[in-house]
Amino acid sequence: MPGAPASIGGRVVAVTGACTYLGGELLRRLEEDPRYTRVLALDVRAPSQVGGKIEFVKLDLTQPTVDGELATLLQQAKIDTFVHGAFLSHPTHAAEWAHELEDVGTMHVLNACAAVEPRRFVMVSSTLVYGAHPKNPNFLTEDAELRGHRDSRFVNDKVRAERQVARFASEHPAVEVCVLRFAPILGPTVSNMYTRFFSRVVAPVMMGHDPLMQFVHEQDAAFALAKAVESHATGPFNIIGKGVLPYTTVLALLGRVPVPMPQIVARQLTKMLWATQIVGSPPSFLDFLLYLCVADGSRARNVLGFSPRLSIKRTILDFLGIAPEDGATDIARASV
Amino acid sequence: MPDDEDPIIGDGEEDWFGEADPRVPDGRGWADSTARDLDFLGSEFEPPSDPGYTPASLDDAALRELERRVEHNRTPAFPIDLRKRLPLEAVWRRWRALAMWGRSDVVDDFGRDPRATARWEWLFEFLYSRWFRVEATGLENIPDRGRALLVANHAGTLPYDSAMVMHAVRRDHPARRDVRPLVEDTVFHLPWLGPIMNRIGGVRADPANAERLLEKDELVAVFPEGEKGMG
Repeated sequence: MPGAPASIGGRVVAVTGACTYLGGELLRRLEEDPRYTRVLALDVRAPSQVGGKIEFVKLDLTQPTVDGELATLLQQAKIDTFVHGAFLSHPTHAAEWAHELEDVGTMHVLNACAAVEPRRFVMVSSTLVYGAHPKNPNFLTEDAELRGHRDSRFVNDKVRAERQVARFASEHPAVEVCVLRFAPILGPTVSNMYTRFFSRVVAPVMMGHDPLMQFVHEQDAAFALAKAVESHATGPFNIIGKGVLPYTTVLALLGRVPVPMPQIVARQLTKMLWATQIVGSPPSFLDFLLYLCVADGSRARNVLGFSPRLSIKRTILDFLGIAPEDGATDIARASV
Repeated sequence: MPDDEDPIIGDGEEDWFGEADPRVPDGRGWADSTARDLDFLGSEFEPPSDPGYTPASLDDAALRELERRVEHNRTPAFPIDLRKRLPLEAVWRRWRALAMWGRSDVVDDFGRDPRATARWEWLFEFLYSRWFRVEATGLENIPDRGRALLVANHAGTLPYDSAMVMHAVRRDHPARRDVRPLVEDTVFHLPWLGPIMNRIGGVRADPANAERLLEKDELVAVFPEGEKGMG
């Protein structure tokens, strides 16, 4: 094993967003791995995994003085890997707070990392940053433009955070910067915009439109994050599941009732439901039901060494909890 | 392990919409579904070979606690919970089977659905042999395998000719190859027509898509005239 960092007494990792699904799964994997001696879990509340080598430090990235605080903390702990995962999984009506957390919070994190210069910086992002656009090719590679969405603050905050990280990477060549863009994560325990959307009995269908969709299973996603922390690969990576399916086939597999409606009706209806806070998906999400936003995972396969284990159909069945392999989400991986 | 086959690594090809699939609850024996739900623990919970061992840890209270913990870790989703309480599984299963009619649960990377293609076959056959009475010549120039690019011009208002090329190769070529036509943007985003074209093999005309198709050794058809040829 190329255990170079082990010579200085094991690796020290700091994780922001430790209470997110991916953060928690990462903590659990780092706890089991003897190569890591100390893990700092940074969040506003303590994750359930605290104990052993995992230490919880309360840190609110929306506070204006957090960058100095974080830099001191990182300096004292002598961290060598920083995992930035403090991003929202659901769109929220508190858009200003979300902006403070994702965009400004990333700025604070990068300020602290610029002072400390850890060996490795891993960021959690999403393939939504490519945006659903009629001009998208069937498979978006990592060098595709990050279009975001013209009126989705949920997506655009992530795009801005990614731009900051890209600038940080060019200004600090000594730091290995790795960005993981996850396809929508589906699974029995994870909770995000897509799992809430697909948990409802009815789902809107844009009349005459049926884009291909792509998901990644939660265990595959967690495995990819752990892999990214331990590897030396740099640059952006699309973390995707095996295969694609048309949106209406996804609904049919889930047993949801598709409600076809014209675009203009759907826009007004979603706008109304979003304004009254009845549903959690903003009107801009409808574009993802109209156009393709499917990413290509070959770079993750070739450079990072990650390839998904579960097909999209298995992922959907596992999300429903009706697969015969119910409870089989604890996938034993030979390499981690 | 009783069998070496990991149930999760399946290729997702098997049809689980069968009439009597014992793995899927059918609503009849829903009362003892709790016991079935815990079946997956079987292999890990083999009792030790010690003769003095009594399975005291698997009494009702422990099982209920285990089940509560399994349920607790799930995303609380209203319809799923409701289905667990009511014997609606049979209805739900029928509904899903009905919704999957005419579509397959595995499509290729670009969205070609074999079952949807078969659904439209009769129409193409009618247009090909009865309506247009197409005569295809030079099919022997198309290789049996490997990448190839078919270049043609459009003839007519609607792109029937690409459908006829597809059908001719699938019908009369010895290798029965599937042609992947590159479809112009405006047609591809037409409501209903676009998704149908995508399901039967059409791909949006984009250099990245064409490159990827050729790398996969597909037979790609392009109509460089584009929109102009459609009158």
